[in-house]
Amino acid sequence: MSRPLAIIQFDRNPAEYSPTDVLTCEYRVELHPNEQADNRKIIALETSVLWRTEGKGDTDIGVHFFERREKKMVQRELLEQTQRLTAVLPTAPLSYAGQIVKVVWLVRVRMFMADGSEKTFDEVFQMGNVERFEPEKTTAPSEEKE
Amino acid sequence: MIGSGSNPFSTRFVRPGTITWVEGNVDVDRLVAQFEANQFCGQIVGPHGCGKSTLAHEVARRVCQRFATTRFVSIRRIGLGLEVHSPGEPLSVFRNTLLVIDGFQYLPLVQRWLLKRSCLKSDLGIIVTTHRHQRWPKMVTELKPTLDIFQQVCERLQLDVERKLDSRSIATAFALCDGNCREALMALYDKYESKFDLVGTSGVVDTSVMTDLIV
Repeated sequence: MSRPLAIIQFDRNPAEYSPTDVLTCEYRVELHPNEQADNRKIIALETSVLWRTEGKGDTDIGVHFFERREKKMVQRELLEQTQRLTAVLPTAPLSYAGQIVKVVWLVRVRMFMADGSEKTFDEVFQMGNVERFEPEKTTAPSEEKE
Repeated sequence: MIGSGSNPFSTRFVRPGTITWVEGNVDVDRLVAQFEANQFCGQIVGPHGCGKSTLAHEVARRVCQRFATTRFVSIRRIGLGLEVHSPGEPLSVFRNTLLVIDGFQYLPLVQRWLLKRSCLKSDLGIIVTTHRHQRWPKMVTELKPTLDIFQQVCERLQLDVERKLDSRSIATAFALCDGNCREALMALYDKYESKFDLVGTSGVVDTSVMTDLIV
């Protein structure tokens, strides 16, 4: 993917957290090394911790943490520095990878460019440990011989 | 971008406006010209899952620069009532707005008439999708997706994923759903889940409902 890029790193590997844990992650923006004009294209940067559902139905979304930086806060010098994000996770909903619906937690870095375009970078983490529901297998009753 | 554990046939990837229009048997440029000639008032008629909403989004994308704002409204019948979904701010300002109404046939007759009148007498543009002809200027009446178009849609959806469904599975889903793309994509969602076992659990996934699709 072309720059600018956002690189997100969690403080845990694998990125597994429990409800009420403190989620800490670092992110940094990789800009074009030589193209000053392109670098100036970022006019705002949003970071968020959110969950969303995926599956066959409508998509739900819940934003748990949100921060927006603009104007002086998105200058080149600041963007190139590693930034830290800290959030206390809630008790619910927990990550779930079902067949019909999935609940996915993620950290998102979203960049807004001067030309009106956006770039979004997501990094998924595990929140809680819910086992997937598996329906019990029913076996056909054997025929009794008289 | 689709994540490693995501199913590329999830609603968030396949809903209208997210899927890009595949040029096939519909000349979109001609439709846009027709839409302009009809004072930015037009209807797209077709059965369930034929691509009406996706086409409406594509036409809207090509003409939206002529309007100050573009609003998408989705109307569904829930029991005896109607569910109106419109992302963004409340629908109150209509001036110089392009309105895309999905499920127009569910609106009461009076509201349909009022909308048409507003469109013809103001700077409001309206594209509606409907299952039946609504006495509006026609844009498309015979929207029929082909297997080739559906294969291209599925290829695009699976562009960023490592594990892909083969063309035979896609063709089977399309045939079983009788050309209804929405149903076929839902069937492929199930197929993808059962084939690749995305969660990586040791349990056996019940695939009996989709045995026809398993190659």
